[in-house]
Amino acid sequence: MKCHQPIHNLGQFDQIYNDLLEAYEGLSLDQQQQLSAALLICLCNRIADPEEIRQSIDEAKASLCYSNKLHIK
Amino acid sequence: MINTKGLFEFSGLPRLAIREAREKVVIVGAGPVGLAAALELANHGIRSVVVDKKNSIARESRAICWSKRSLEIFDRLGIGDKAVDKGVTWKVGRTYYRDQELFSFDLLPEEGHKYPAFVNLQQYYVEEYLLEKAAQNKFIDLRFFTSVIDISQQLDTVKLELETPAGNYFLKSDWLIACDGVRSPVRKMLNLEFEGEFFEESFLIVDIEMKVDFPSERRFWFEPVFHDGQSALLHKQPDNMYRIDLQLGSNPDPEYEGKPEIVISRIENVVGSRDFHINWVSIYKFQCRRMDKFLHNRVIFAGDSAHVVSPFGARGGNGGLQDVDSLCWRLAAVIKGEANSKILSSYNSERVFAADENIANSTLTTKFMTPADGWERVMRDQVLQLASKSNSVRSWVNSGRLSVPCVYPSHGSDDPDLPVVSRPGAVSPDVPQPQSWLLENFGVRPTILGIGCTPPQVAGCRSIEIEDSEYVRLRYLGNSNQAIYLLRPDQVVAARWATTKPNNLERAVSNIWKTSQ
Repeated sequence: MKCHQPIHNLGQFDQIYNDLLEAYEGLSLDQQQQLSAALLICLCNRIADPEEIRQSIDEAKASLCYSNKLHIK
Repeated sequence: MINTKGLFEFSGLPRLAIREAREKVVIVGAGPVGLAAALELANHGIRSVVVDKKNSIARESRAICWSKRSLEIFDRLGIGDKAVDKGVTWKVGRTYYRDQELFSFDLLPEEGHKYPAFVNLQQYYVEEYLLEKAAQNKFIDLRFFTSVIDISQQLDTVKLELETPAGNYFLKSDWLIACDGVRSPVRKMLNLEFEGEFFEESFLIVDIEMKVDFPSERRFWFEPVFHDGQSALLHKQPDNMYRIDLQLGSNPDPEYEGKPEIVISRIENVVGSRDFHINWVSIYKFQCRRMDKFLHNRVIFAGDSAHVVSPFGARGGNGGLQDVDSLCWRLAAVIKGEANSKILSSYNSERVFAADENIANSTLTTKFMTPADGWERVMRDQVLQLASKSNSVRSWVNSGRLSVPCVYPSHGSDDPDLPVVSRPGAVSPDVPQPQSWLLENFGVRPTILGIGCTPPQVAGCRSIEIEDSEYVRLRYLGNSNQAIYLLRPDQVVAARWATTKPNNLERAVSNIWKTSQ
């Protein structure tokens, strides 16, 4: 009888979130920046849709502006 | 006119200059762009006077990479084959990161073009060939040792004061084309702005003569082991000449960098201990700038006087020739009374659009090649790291996006089922014909091209029928059985249909003389 690898029942994005945290674990700030750059390039390459990527950049920047405002308050 | 030492001879004051002569067109600057403009106007039967302050063709190689489109333009001017015969033909570029080759690219992967993707040829040869043609052309009056020292414009005239070794004289012209280079005295005399960006990085540009048979390829290095942390470019030219561009970083000491022993040691790092002779050395900084508009009443700017970009991408000289291509048929039509002078605003809009495209490309290349510290450098370095391992990231590597003709915005009729490469606004792609090449068959008038059908006859147009072939299908037909293309005098597609009625075609022909179709 074949033994199946046990799979945890995690939400899809919970798993991705965890993978991202693990990928950056133990890295210096410089290394984190390098990994972020490499990851962005790989992801953009896979998405390969300039409009999708632009929208994602806008969303991310908007989130940055919002958190900066919160910080100022 | 040209003596054995390659110097121009001063031929005295023109006889007509005793009183104020009136010309149709005066062209300021006898570089490649000015001479090409004179020859192209002559093709349309328009006379011009070309003035230049210099007394010889350029001694330095300057622009060396001439694109396929420029060679097609040279063909119309009578020097295409000569340029290819003398030049170094190349289409392969190799890109390296440190000591590893990242990838190579083929600029013209398809066969079936008369001209190659690029030919490397020193600017002085191009000038010499154009000058030989211009000197034999009865429509062109070349006047060297002649500087423009004053310009004034009236409603329908440009008035010039010209300085020569035998004294000054005045000249009136209906039109003036300023092809007088990046420092354009004409632009300065008219107090016109030249806005844009200067980059901090300096580059050493050297031409060396060296007997070695490197392959006819463009080679570009990011952070090569022989030039730590910077970039380097190597190009082969005719006569055993090699062009080397070395990034020097920001704010180097030009006096130190220009010292022969320093230059020699830098070159030895690139080519090893081979024997070489230095032909030309220059240290320069990038700039990406353009005029707000290229048309100022009766004064029209073309080439570097109108726009300037960094050299990686060969968009300077090639862009200038494309200006000539867009301008001269329109100006000829205005002078012959076939079109209203408003048509020249289409030259302005098309070439400003093209200049912006060139500047955007050039700026992005410059950012990639010389990233600022911080995030720009992190991103650039990661692209190079990934590209060394993954094919899919290679297209992110930017060592210069090489000059291709701009596809102009067009409102011309289109059939989206026809191939994208020949859409309205694009230059017609060449295809082989039984005894010639397609582009050789286009004249100075608009052309109606019938493929798989007899092209309708329209007054003032040349009609050509060509047969289906592998290349015609690829570049003009797609999956259609037939098509009709309307081409402007500069070989740009004005409109196209799988099928159409004669009145649609006549309307499209009429639009060529009105707007930027």
